[in-house]
Amino acid sequence: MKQTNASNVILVLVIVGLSVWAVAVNWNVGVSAAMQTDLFTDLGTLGLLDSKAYGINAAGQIVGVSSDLSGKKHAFLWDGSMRDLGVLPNTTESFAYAINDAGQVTGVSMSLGSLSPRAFLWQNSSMTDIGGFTPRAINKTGDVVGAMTTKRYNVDWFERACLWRNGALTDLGTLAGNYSYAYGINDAGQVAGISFTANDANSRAFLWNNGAISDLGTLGGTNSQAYAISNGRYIVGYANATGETQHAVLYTLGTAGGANTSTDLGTLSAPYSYAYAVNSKAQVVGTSGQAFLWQNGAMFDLNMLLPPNSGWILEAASAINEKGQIAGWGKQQGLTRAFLISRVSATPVSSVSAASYGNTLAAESIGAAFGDQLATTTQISGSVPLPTSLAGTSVIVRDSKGVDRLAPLFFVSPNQINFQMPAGTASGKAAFAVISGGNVVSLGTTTIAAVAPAMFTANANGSGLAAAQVYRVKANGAPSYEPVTRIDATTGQVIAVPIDLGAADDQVFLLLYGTGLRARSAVNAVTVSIGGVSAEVSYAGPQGDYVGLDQINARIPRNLAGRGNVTITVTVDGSAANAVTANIK
Amino acid sequence: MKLQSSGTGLKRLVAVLVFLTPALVMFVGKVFSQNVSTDSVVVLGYNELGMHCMNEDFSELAILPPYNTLRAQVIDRSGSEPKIVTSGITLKYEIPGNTHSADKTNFWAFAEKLFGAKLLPNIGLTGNGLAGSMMATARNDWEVTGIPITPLTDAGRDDPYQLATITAYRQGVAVGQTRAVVPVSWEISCNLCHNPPGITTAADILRKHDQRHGTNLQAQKPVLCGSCHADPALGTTGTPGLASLSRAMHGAHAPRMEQVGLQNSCYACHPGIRAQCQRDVHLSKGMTCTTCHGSMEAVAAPTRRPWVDEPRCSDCHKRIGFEFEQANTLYKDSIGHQRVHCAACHGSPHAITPTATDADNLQSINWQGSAGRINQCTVCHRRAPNESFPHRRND
Repeated sequence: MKQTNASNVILVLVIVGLSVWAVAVNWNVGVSAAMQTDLFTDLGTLGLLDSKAYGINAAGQIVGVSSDLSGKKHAFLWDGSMRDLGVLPNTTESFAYAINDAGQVTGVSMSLGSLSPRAFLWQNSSMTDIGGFTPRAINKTGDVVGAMTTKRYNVDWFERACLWRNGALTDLGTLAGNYSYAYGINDAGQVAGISFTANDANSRAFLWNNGAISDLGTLGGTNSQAYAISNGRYIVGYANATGETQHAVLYTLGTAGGANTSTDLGTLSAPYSYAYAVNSKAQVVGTSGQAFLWQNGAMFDLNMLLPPNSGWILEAASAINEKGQIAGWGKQQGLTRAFLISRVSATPVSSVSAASYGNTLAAESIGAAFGDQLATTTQISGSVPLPTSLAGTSVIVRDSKGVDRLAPLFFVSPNQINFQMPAGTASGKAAFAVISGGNVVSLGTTTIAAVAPAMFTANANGSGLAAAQVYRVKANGAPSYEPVTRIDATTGQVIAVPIDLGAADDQVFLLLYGTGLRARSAVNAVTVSIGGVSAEVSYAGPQGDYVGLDQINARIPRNLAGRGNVTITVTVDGSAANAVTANIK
Repeated sequence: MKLQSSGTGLKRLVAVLVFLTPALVMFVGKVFSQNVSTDSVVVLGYNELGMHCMNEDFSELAILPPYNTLRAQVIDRSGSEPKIVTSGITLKYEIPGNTHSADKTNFWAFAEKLFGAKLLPNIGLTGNGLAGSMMATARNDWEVTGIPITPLTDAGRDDPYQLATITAYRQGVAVGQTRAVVPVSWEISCNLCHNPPGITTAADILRKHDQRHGTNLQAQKPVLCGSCHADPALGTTGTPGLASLSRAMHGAHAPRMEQVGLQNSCYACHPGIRAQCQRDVHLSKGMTCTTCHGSMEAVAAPTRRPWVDEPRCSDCHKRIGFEFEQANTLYKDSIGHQRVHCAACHGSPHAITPTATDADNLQSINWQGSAGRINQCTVCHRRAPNESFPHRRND
């Protein structure tokens, strides 16, 4: 038995108003050879087929390396189009690794097999030789760090982390080993990199600060390496965990003499991960088989932001700026190409049940997401089936099996989106991306379960009086629907309408509205307790008229007559819904 | 100018040529003072091929995995006579600028499907990683096989000529060290020809193979070429009756190479247009790949045994009473002077010193102050012997 009537429209409008949102991504746009959407840009190449991006500045200018038409590797600068930075005299190839906000680019120019790499500084369309070392990073004042060679006997032999400042090159030393490499420098002049320990037994991430070099430690294993340092307190790289697995690591430097901390960033599907860059908001990018962004405690596969059948696999994210613009490389038709993703908000989006605000959702259930800049305007869907793009906002859900789906949308607004969790979403941890205006991405995670029962309430806050109706069948078979709540004209508050159980031969059913329960294993796996008295459940499943809305019909035991306020508890396959209330006359 | 035959005259001639021809400087190398290594143990490192090729992407097909071999000979020069060391020490290798590979190729995602091996990240097919210990061999040297190095350094530089550090430890104390090139490249430029729009290079290769040979490789990705075509480099025996991989590849492509338009068409497939792996002293003599290896048709000859029937030094170098490599043994495995490996002094195949690459010259410069074959007796001998140089292993 499942009954409902038009009055439920009011109910659903209440539900929709309770929590809503959106995405405008060019997912449905055909993929051209050089894919470009507002969100994703293929940076192209200098001539042949490959390119890799290594650095990005605040303006979104990107540097890296690409093969020219002769097959040689040349440094490039991309600022809307890719420009060949050339090579230094007497060298054949160049690699650009970093660009600062002033547009100064640093990298190395050398010939293959040469032991005399030349560092370059490119600015104002001119490449200058700044010495015999291999640069890797540059800060706002033009300080460059990298690796130089030092001699053993009379031969250039060991590589040492070095700092180039105003034309002078300084050996930054090691952690008692023979080799060290500097990979990052921030605007305060702090340097991060890799040093080997005594007898070159292990490599360790290091911090160099005002002449002192310190070991940043590991995650329980023996080795670690640091690849970037942000303004502020963050250094990233990888560290061996117990068992010597290599995991991306975020070092947070202690303040006021406090201890540093290290955070294992985990992995995607691959058993390893490496972090290549971090910004001052602790947004970390790297690779774990595929390009990732880690923020707010969760690692996201950036491939979830690509349109289906894009032909791309994003392999590594190598750079991120303060806006959250991300550069890296991936495979496109099997060839390595540099890309730009613009841009990811550091503010997380949280998604919960629209009924209970619980953290677990089920496939096809109604959810609500909250965050910043989720949409550029407020818009309510006016049609069924629900759209997957509303006011330029879309929601992508990647389930635990790595399948990406667009969520149907009820409502979008700058701070809230209401959506339906896509059908087929697998149980487990799911990643959640909101794309707004084509280039603002908010990311979050949620938990998906087969059933996540949640009951709507009349005041839309997940507790209190149930959003329900009474269905009465008189002895003569005449049906009627009755409200269980109303708005108090004086206070404007929702108050109970006491349920009258009526004549002894009246059959009175409570129609409860919720979401996340339609996948129950059986009707008898659904329990309803009213005032502590078990109620017979005659239906539990989709409400039928409204997307994502579920309904439970429970016969109200007659021995509850006169009980007044009662608590109603629902379980579905052993999972409890939020408790709601009603009043029985 | 008439060539003079006396040693002194030849030295003068070289000096003049170096002066007149700057391009030749790279083959002579930098000459340092005699402040060279004085380690108590001489470590001489080399690679058995001079270049190891690998695929970068294994998702569709694989020719070669990341698999490098590093060898070294260790000579104790602390006694009155040098002694080849095969025990009592620990020999460790590492590539300081390249410590992880799992993020640089998708090999580990497909290793089990292609090679039947469940591998930990950064561990290669023989269980070795990018750092570890070398093992003594029955050949009087030390070896580590299957180093899963890629050409991409940790700094992101695509470098086919990276340097490994090999250090000998005795009771935990470093007693000798060298740096030797671990050559590796994934410059297999199939895309020069296999480049139709809309599909990958690998997909085009498989599609053409299916069309021409009635196979269904496109449905079997990833495909290991050596699984059907015997490949001694991988130790696969292939399908009986099918041509070896070497014969199949060289034979099928020989008529098509002209259209590639390369000056050295070998570099269309072998590293490479960029890497130019034939970098040794023979290059300075104007010799190319085919000078020694012959034409593609010759390499594809059905009677040729791949990886066995290779060029021999003695094909060109002839001197009565002088052994250039052992009979029935390739240069890479041959020994000479009192059981010292040829490659220990002369360099790896394709990198016989002096080379066009500084990295390959580094070892010679470290030990004797100049590039070129190691020919200074005092590198290993405390005092230079008075007798003539015994080049053969049993002299």
